[in-house]
Amino acid sequence: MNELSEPDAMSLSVSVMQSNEAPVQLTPLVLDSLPNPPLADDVCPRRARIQIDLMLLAIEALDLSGSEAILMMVSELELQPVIKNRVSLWRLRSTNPLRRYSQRRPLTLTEGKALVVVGSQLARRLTVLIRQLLLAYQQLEEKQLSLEHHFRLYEYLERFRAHFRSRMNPRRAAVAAYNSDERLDELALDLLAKLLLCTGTYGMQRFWVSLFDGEVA
Amino acid sequence: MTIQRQYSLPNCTLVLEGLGDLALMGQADVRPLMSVLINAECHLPGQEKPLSGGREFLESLVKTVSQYAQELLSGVHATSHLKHSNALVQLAPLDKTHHRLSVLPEGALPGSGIAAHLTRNIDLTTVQLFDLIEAVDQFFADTQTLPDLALNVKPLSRRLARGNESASQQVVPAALGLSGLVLAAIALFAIPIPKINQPTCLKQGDPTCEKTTPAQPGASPTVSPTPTSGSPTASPSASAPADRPTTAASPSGLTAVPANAPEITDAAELTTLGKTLYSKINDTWKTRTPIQNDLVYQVGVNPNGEIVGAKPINDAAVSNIKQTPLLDLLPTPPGGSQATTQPLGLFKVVFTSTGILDVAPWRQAMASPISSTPQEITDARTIKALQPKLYDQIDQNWKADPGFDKELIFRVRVKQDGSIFDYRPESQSATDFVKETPLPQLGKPVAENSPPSQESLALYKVVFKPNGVLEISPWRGRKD
Repeated sequence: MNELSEPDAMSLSVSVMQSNEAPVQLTPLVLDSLPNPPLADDVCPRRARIQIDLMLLAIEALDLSGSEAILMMVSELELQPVIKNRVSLWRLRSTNPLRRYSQRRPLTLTEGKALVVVGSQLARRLTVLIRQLLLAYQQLEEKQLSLEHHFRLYEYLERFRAHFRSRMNPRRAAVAAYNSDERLDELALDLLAKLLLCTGTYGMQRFWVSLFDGEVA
Repeated sequence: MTIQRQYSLPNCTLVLEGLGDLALMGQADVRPLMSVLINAECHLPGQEKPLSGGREFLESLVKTVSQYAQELLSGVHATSHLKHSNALVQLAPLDKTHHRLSVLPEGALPGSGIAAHLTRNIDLTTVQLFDLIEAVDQFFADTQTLPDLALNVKPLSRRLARGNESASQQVVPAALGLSGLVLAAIALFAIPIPKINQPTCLKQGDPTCEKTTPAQPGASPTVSPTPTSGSPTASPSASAPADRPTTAASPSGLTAVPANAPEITDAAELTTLGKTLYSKINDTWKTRTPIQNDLVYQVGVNPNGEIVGAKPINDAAVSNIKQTPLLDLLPTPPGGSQATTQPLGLFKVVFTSTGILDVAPWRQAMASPISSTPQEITDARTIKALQPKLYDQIDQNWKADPGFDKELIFRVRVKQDGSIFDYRPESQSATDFVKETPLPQLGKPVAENSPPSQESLALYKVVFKPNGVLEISPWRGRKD
């Protein structure tokens, strides 16, 4: 992952090896690179709200300073008009209906896009780590070793479980389904693979569009 | 002049060779436009020879890779996937960490022995797959190479989504779904099974007959009630029409499942037949217009996988038969006496209101204890299992900010399938503010002096708090 792991290499958008968006264009144009899905109302459907929040949760489990990094990325991308501060970030993420303190407010498409852009950019920065962990997971599977055998992977899984359990509402059927370590590990690994896809040239677009699969007419 | 373009990633290198546009040649362009492809090569780890082909190969590769990436991200699978079985390049999940890329030989008939023999299967890890996706994306982003092939992603429409999420993510919800099916089965037992209506098509000149199967006097003996419990013991009876209440006026137009045919019980055979039946119905079910209720049918299938009979199980199934492709799939004229000698596989086929098809072996779907007397559900486990369903329903529909300042307490009765039967305000404020809760849209207020319910119901205490918190507990307290 030579070029892609270095955000600096994306500055000029002519060469094919680099991302198609230059940092100069990042706001609010960066949101324009994500199309508006043909929905009846301009709000993110339930699955989208869940997926966006879980993706950020996985990033926080990967990166100890993840929640700070999210806020820093918001200001770096000049997205404060959409995500003003820590509280508004929390409000947006709490539109995830699985949360303990789920907010009874919609998540607009613009807000959803902002979170997806932030998450994808953070995932790009973590590309090397994400690849390492997925590689480790695959090797453990091949050797039929349990996940504790890789310290860094185990750390990620443990942190993800802790984050998930402290923030999600166990009374929800969808949360109760993840009532064991194994199931949460599966979810965490699934999210890790999704994060990897988000790091690609069009990963952000692909992730965004996938949120509306089965939701449009 | 040939142009070569290369997109290199650690585990995948895509090499395209093509020709430039002659009209634009000679311009001092550093990277001339490649407009015609001669050859595409895809180098993957562990492969001595790269995958290669012409334009058809490249188009199929990028399309399949694009679609698969989206499926991985959303967990939503396209129903049309089955129809792409003749695509040159295919991708499918192999296990938790591997994906199988299959490349069919160009020109060979898909499904033929030669095609199967020459198909190249390459198993990729998730990271290797990502590199393949990234190579494709870099090619898409390159406006100087085959600009007519660019990123084209759009969400899968509701109609095409198969509605199940990725296996790894949804193992547990799948299990929940299964228990839901069992619950539904229990609930179905509580409902009297509607009898087959006498086909009104027997009368000449009936206007409703025009679009259904031609009336045949011989059809009437086959319209025999199939035993409700799934054990084919009842025999066709000539006096049947007399004791069959014709509740719905519309003719079902369906051939009943022959009652005295031997039943296929072999699990493996049932699985195979079920799959055939699923794809047969799923492929022909085009309308998928929203319907109020799920349509439930019992469908009999002969060992060749042909549908020989179908029977509506709920009222909606009788009146909405034309929404389903069953009439088209049934033999015309209705499979007479010769069909009954063949063994039959019985399936429960459900066309859900959300446009999803569900097929399960009948006995499996119905193998659950019968609750004969309608009563309150007291089983602690059932009460515990239904509670989160109730919570989700109310929580998801409670959108308005609370405009009340006292707790609203309700007694809510819930059916076996988790849906709300009725509710009763238990406090004055609950009576006053009931419209602020989602209960009126989810159920009905309790009817005084109503006859006892035909269904088993579980009782819960539901509390809406002014700070937006929802609390649900078993009405008679927890027993665990």
